[in-house]
Amino acid sequence: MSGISGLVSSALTGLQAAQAALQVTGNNIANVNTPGYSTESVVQSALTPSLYGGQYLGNGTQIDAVSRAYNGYLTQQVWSTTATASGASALNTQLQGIVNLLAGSSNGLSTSIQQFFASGVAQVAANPADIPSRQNLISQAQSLAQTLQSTAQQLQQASNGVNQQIGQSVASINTLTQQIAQLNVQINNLSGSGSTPNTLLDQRDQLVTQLSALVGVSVLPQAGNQVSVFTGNGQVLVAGSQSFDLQAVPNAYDPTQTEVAYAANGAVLSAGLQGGTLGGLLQFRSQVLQPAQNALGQMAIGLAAQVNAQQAQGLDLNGQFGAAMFQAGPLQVLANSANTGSAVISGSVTNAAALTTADYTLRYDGSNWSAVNLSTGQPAALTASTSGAVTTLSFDGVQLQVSGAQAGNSFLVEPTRYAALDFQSLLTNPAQIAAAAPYVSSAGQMQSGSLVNTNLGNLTLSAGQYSTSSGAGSLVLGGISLGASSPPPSLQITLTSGGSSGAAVGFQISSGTTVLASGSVTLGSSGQVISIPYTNPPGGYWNVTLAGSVAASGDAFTLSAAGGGNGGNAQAMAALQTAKTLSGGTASLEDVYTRLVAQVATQGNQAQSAASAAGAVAAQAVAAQQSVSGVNLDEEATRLLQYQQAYQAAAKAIQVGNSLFTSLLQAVQ
Amino acid sequence: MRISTPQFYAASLSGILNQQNTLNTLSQQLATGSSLVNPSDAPVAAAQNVTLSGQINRLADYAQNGQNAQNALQIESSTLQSVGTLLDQVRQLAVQMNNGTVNANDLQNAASAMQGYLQQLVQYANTQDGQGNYIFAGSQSATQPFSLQADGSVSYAGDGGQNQLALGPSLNTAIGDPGNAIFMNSRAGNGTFSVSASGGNTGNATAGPGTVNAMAQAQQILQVDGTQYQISFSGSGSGMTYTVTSGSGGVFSSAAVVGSGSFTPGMSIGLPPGGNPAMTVPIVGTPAAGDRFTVAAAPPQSLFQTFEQLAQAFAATAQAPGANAQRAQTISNALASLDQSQTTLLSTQAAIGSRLQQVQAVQAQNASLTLQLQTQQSQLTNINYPQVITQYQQSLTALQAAEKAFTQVQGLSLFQYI
Repeated sequence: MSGISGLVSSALTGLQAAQAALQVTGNNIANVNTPGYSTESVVQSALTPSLYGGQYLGNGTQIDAVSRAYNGYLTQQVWSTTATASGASALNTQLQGIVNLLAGSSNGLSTSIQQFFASGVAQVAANPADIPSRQNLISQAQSLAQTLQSTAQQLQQASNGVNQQIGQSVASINTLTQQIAQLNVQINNLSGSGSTPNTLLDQRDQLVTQLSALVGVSVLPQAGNQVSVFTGNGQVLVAGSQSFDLQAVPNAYDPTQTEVAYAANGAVLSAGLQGGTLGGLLQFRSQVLQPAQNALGQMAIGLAAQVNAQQAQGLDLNGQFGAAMFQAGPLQVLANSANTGSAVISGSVTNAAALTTADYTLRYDGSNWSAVNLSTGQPAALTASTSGAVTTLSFDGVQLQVSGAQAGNSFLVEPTRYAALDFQSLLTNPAQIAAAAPYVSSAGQMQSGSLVNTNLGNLTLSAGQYSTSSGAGSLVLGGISLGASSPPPSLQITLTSGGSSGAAVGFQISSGTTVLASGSVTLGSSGQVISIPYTNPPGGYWNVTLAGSVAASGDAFTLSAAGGGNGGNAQAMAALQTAKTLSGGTASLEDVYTRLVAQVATQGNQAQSAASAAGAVAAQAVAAQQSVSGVNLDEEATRLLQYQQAYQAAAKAIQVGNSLFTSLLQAVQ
Repeated sequence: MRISTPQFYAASLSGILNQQNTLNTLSQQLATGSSLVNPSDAPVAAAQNVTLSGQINRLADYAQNGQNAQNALQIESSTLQSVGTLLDQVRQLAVQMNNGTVNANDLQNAASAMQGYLQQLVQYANTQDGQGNYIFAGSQSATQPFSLQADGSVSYAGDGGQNQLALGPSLNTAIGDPGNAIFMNSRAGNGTFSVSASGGNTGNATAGPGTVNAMAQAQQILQVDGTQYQISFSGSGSGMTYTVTSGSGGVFSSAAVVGSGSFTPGMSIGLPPGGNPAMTVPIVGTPAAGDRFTVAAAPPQSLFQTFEQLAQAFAATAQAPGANAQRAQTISNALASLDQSQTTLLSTQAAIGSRLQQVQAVQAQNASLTLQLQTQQSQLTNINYPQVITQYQQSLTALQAAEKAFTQVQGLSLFQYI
């Protein structure tokens, strides 16, 4: 076409192009707040010119495509940083609650522990016979048990919360992956026509962003503008038109722990999930919550074991050896749900000092047992002994009895997990506090309830103290066991010969008319230790020392059950607070708690900075992506004016063409 | 960089929210005065704070123990002071009565005074603390430890238990002493041996309490070997002689004569007889023929027994020379025993004094340590007000600026001009 008609037709293409561009601009303005929307623009090109009279004359313009402002690299950045930021934020949110629970300045647990010892036990040590002091200790013990329990309960609630949130996340992930697969199908169908369905692509990208917030994913483009979505370690979630649902399932050992698995075949993939809310939750559970629960449990078991052992060493107001004051929750042994056969397994913590905060997996290969410490990944030193059908396994302060195990069976052992949750204070009667030492040493002998001293020599019998060992050269008494019967029988030590410094004089130890043992003491030396054994538990000995330089035959000493006025055992109990008896003798109760506080607070600190750093990185990635794809209203306003003027100009050209026609027609008339 | 419109709003919003968050933390710190509002901000300080609180609480516990120890020791000390005063009164009375001029009436009065003193002593020994615990009963603090029997003797129902309290991490102090150590276990006589007069003595001589010249030898003879000596007299006037026989268990064979000699008034007899005797027993006054004195290892003699002996000696008011000598011998022995008891009392008082001193020294040290730890804790957990207030002002200004900038920039839109 040429001439006037060429002018009109060219102007018409301009008019149409401006109209289309205006529509795109209007659409951009309309979608300014649509999440994931990429700003669109028309791609325009000149139409092929026609050869006319030896000259190429333009034929106007055409719209090649409506393209979206999109940068695949930046979008990938948004996805990966969103996953990291969302994971760090989930971890941080969960963690801060725990931090304030365990490390907050108003924390009840450290106050309770300190009050139990400082105000409770120390008061009884100072006033052993005073009932109000004893009542106060009972109350402090109950309050300590309650605080431990409620702290453990809050951790348990956090654990339940994690389970619930894993379930919710899994449901959301399934919805998103299904939608992505559907969009893949639609995009594939619509891409055939040669133009790209921009809106659908934007929608799918937005869905992937939402999915990234839940779990870290990697996205691979496929033919037909489709994408495949994988988890961080390559487990497929969406492949083209197909999505693979996930499911929250109970842990194979411990049904109270929710894991993530494929809905179709039940394969567990929790261990490989990283990033996103789900990754953050799983990380929180394995790295913060369970270690905190275990450390709290270790402390609870240590507290109960120590205080109970101390109770058992002393006498209460009724002259009885002390009953247990605390009871920690039992050890957990959980069989794998895939175990064959019907193994029976149970156990208990036998040595609180050797206990670690780790959980263990226990395996049986048909002939040998092995245990792996899950905190370190190293095998634990396990000893097994079989007696009849029952095999006894011992490792790290734990003892298990198992029978009927078959090859391939495996178990999860959690020695400390629920120890604090089920921690109980057992004593209710103030008289039951064993404040007194078992024996009091006196010079002289008991005669019808009175102490009569006719000793001529200068030998003394020491007040005595508890020791786990009898010591070298000590005389260990047979035929008597402290704790087997209450109160302990009175013992009389009578010298059978006299002597002075350097000589060895004989003595015999009798209970009533029964002679239990005889020995000798070298005068002027450090003396002879006499060890009276305890039953097991608590084991150990009550050691007294007979020493002096001048002895007369017939001199006598009495070991009699201590009365209520004695506070020796309470004093020893007060010293437990700082005695390094846990973690293999390296940590005191307070140390264990301080370590827990330091660990949790440090994790909190790290999570906080990680979350804020990851948040900043994600914000930057979004800003970079938005700088390419986002709608800027000022820009749209400019374009609006630009295309409006183009439209007006094209219309003017048509008007000019029209007037040219009119001029021509008038000339012809 | 090209800024998309939603991005502008989102960035402005997150800036404002961040400033608000900072302001919130700072205002919480200002309100509580604690810099540990959020333990995650200062994990090391949070853990140190737990340790410090534990240490401060334990020091407070030690201070409480020290206070308890001080109270208990002061009750014991003041009781023992009263016992000491009583002992002095008894000694004065005994010295007064140990005199040839006292008459039966004086002795009668003294005897009944002694009964009163004995009861008083039993009462002191049964002292109870503020909670009704007997302080001299060992571990049997709920049972009255000393009871006066009808025959005038006093038995001890307590034991040798002694309570200790922790004053510091590795420092314990005894907060009392068992009654048997104070009242029951002091030795009779001079602490090594005691001299007793035979009931049939008729002369006016008394013997003892005597001195020990070689302790080890004396202990070997008396306590280890159980040897006793009897000094007996025969003849009269300048021809009077003494004989020393050895024996044991109060049985002396006349064949076991270990020494003899002529008696001169005021002489001392060495035991065992010979050169460098281990012990020396002075004989005061003139014995009659047939008078006997026995020297034996000193057994423990309770203070009550000493009081009771004196009471019985005073009650024997007969004024014959033999009876007077008997009384004088008993009073002399009792005075020696009183000395032993007094030594025990004084050394116990000295021990209490040093314990009290220890308590006070440790209390002062604990107080200064507490202050130091509290200072450390406050440095750790208390905010620095000028610093936090400055930060607060800064954040406030920054927030106001961010809000102002937002309202101004958001007003700039090209659409307003179309």
